[in-house]
Amino acid sequence: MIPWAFFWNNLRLRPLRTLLTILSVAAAVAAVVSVLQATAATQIQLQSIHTTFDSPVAMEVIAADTSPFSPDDIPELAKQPGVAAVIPVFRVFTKAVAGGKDVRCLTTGTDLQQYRTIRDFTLQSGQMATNPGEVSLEASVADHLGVQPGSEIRIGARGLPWLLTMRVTGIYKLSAADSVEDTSAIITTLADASKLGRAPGKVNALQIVLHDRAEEAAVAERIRASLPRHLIVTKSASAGDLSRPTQAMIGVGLNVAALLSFVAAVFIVFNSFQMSVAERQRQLALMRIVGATVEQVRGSLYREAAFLGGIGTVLGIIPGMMGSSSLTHSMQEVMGFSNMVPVATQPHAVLAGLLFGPLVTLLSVWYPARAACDVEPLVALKSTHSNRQHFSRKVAAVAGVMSLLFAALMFTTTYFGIYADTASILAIAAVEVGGAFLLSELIKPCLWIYYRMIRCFFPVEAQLGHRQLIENFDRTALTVAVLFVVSAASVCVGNTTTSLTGNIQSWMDRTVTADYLLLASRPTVNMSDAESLPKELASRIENIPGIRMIDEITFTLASVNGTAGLLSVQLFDGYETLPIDLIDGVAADLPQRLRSGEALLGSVLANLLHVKPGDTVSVEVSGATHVVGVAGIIREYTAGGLMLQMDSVAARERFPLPSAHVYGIRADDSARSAVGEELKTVAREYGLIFQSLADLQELVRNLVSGITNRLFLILILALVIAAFAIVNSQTMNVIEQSRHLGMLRIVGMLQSQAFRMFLFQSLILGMLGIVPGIMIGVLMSFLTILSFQGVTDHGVEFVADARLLAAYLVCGLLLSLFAAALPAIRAARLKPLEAIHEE
Amino acid sequence: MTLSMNSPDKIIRADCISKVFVHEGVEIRPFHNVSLEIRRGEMLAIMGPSGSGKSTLLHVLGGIEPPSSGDIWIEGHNVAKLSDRDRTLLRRRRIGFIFQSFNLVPTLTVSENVALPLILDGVASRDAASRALASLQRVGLSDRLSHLPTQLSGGEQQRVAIARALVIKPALVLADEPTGNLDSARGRDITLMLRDVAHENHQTVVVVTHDLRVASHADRLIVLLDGRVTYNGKPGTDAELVAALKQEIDV
Ligand SMILES: Nc1ncnc2c1ncn2[C@@H]1O[C@H](COP(=O)(O)OP(=O)(O)OP(=O)(O)O)[C@@H](O)[C@H]1O
Ligand SMILES: [Mg+2]
Repeated sequence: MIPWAFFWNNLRLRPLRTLLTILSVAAAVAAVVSVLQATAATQIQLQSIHTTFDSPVAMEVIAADTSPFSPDDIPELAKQPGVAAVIPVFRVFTKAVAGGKDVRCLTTGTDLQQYRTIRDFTLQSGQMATNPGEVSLEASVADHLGVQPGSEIRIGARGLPWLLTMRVTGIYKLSAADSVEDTSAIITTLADASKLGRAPGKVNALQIVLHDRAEEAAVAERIRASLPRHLIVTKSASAGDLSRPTQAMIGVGLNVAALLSFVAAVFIVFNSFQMSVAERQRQLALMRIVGATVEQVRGSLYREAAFLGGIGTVLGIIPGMMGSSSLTHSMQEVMGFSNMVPVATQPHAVLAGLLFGPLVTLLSVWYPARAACDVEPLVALKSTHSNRQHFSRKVAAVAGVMSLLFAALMFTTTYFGIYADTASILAIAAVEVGGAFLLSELIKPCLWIYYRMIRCFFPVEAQLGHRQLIENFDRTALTVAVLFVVSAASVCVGNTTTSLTGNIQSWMDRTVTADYLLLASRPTVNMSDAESLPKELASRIENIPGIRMIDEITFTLASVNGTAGLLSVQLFDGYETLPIDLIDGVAADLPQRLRSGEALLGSVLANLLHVKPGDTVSVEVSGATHVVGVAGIIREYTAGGLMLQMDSVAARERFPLPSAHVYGIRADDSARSAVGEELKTVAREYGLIFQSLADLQELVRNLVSGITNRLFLILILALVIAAFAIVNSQTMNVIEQSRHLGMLRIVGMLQSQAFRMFLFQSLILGMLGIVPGIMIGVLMSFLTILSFQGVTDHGVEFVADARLLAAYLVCGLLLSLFAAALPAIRAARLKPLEAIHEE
Repeated sequence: MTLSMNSPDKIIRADCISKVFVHEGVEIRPFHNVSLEIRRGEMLAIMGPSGSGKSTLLHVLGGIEPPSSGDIWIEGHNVAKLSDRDRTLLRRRRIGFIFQSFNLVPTLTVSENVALPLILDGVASRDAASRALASLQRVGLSDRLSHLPTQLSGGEQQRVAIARALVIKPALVLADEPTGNLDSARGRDITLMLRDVAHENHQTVVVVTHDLRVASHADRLIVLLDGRVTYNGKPGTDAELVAALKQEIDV
């Protein structure tokens, strides 16, 4: 056995190298732990959004003609596999009267026990209605009518000749999220609601709650098959629809980030050990010449690696655990980001770090240790790095091509829909790894070009620096690979993040153009009797000074090629740019096509029906059927994307449509707040829902900002890792050359020349690694966004954020220079004789 | 730059120089209170048993290692008072070093190694290459221009180092056992070459050697023993010298 002293002195005599090696393991472990931690935190945050905003009701069974039906027609529904509960509801638009005041509102009759499992109430006073003749009121309605628990109110509905007298048992508030989705102001028993709707004992919807892991589409298909002809399954629209596609995409994005951080960590550690062993090749050869066996030499390297890896792992775990949570904290403090759910330490992240550190360390030392012992000791004693470069390059080229083939294979499986998520994520990582390996083929030509460019400024330094890079090809290639990998990873994460948030923002900006909205009720696809806005309202608000434009929007249930969708009808004339987020179709033709009666289809609906612009679909509304041309495909999150938009005039010529459900109102800039106040009064007067653009945007922003903040946190982590890797590898590059530097200094190299030579090298290494890293990072970001298509039908537009990329390039190169500058100053200041003896 | 009060024909003047290495409390004194003057155009040999401080003295004389006490003047400049830049330029333009080992930069070719001081000085590369070639021709290695140092034998590496030391036509050549790795014929050639350099080009050559035959070609011989100069004079005949050295080593 090789004595401990040998091993110990190796570490002690080269403190900087030992420190850097330990730090590289620590950084890699910290990276893995913190990214996993941040990823888990984001997933938890997603879940919290899911539970806050997403309806547990996956779908509803309604009558094709939206008329009431008897639940006894389909007794077996609850027994279908995957179905957790079937909740009968009867919704009816009503007018509530008390003490000379009245209000229009939606009344929902249901089985309260079951209903409570899907809706979140806070009782303000009294208790919820459970018996016939009892109602519970939403707090604002109770306020408006001035009633208390125990009071009596009278409720009427359209077509009902008399008012029912009911007793108020309780006053409740819905949670913020539920109130977006469910505007029921009165909750009563199923029996009373069906009486109000003139269909006693019937329901107008069966809400279906699924088990956690049930496949929604499959269950829907089975239910559809079991239904009698007059009943259909519709997708339930919920506020969660807005976030669900985002959630799915972020899920993919997170996994990409986690895997890329893992790859980067492996490269960082491998680089450290490869350099550390390669540098000592002569020493190891000498050990063998004096009689150490290959096993002993390898054993001593493994022992050293285990030791350094152990320390590094321990050092990395703590900052890894703290990293993400303290970053969360500081982001909240500094940038005022709220709504980031605090997350406890994830055991799996810590465990991954504990396993990753030692395992990757040993794997990283295995290859160089084997390579070092494969060479005959005498050859090794005499060789320079250049003698071995051929071998490494061949291996690298083969590994690179294999990685790319693997990526291609994975993309092919994705295309056929086999394990699409996992496959695409693996493929993206494989592109990165393949790129890193193949990059070594590009180094020589690029090096030559860069050298030519810089030579005219610093001829001496460039010439010597260039020679060192060429002759120590292994070291150059590895440093470049590390810079490449971390750049590609962080650019991919960064660009994907900005694309994602930019998309949500642009959808919002383009589609929500009204300053204020007035709604009789919220649009859902299953509303049997959606309340139109009162006729006299238009003349009432027209007279408000400062209003520029009123857009009347009508929603109705439509069957498009047999699939249920929501038809939204509005006037498109008054807009300079249409309030839509077009993803397919010719924008210039749209106004004319819409006027001629063509429709815009939501991307989800279009994908479901396999139609594209120029095709036609058959649309049925309330018994009237027409063939309608497809003018364009739009990104639309309302009604789960099962949306169809038509021009108001053209639609009314073809279909019997109720009058407007929503007024979108735009005000002159100067009068905006006055108009808002006035509209609020009107809304109260007529019992309407009033929304301002700011409210709506706030709602959406809140939905996504918690998530995007998390993504930015992961981006920051990625950048920190990248920065560390750049500093680490550049520092190593300099300290490796100490001895050569001593010789150069003795024959007359000035300190300033030595310094400039190192800066030249770091600049070149930076450009060799970071420039292609950015390019491949953009490609990977594109592939990531492409793979989002697999998890959502809402297309996300890929945007290469030029500012982000330029900033990354500049920062990366500056960091490279800075990282090299400190050790370069140190090396240049070393006394030449000391430098010669420093190994 | 500080001027000494030396006469211009002295290229080096060492005044009471001592060197002390302290390692873990143990003091090692390779030499103590050595005073020395070296003339231009002189070939000086330094001999002494292994570990007697010859290499260290050579490093101190060349200004790449400061003395622990005492002063060194090289070409009239007090080395201790020179900035690093001036000291480097002095080395680059006026002094050629040949070390016992570790002479060459392993990543540069033979020709590049030789041209290195010229390249560093900004001499155009074609010019530098042709001067390197001329210098290599003198040591008989002009056919190995593009080889890397590891592809040469120890003696060949040593000759490349000599070619590099001479390429700048230095005022002072400091050579640490330049013939240690050479056979006797080659060793003699190199020694004669160094002597010619000193006598014909009026360059100064200081050679550390274990080889009496090398020393016998020098103009003057210094013997270092126990940190003191115990002999300073003509090398004399081989037999006399052997006797003198033997006697001293035995003491
Ligand atoms: N950097 C140093 N630190 C400590 N001691 C040193 C150092 N350099 C040299 N020495 C010691 O100084 C003494 C003189 O060393 P030097 O290399 O000058 O000897 P030398 O005469 O050249 O020997 P050789 O003929 O074997 O080359 C030796 O004892 C050596 O151990
Ligand atoms: Mg010596």
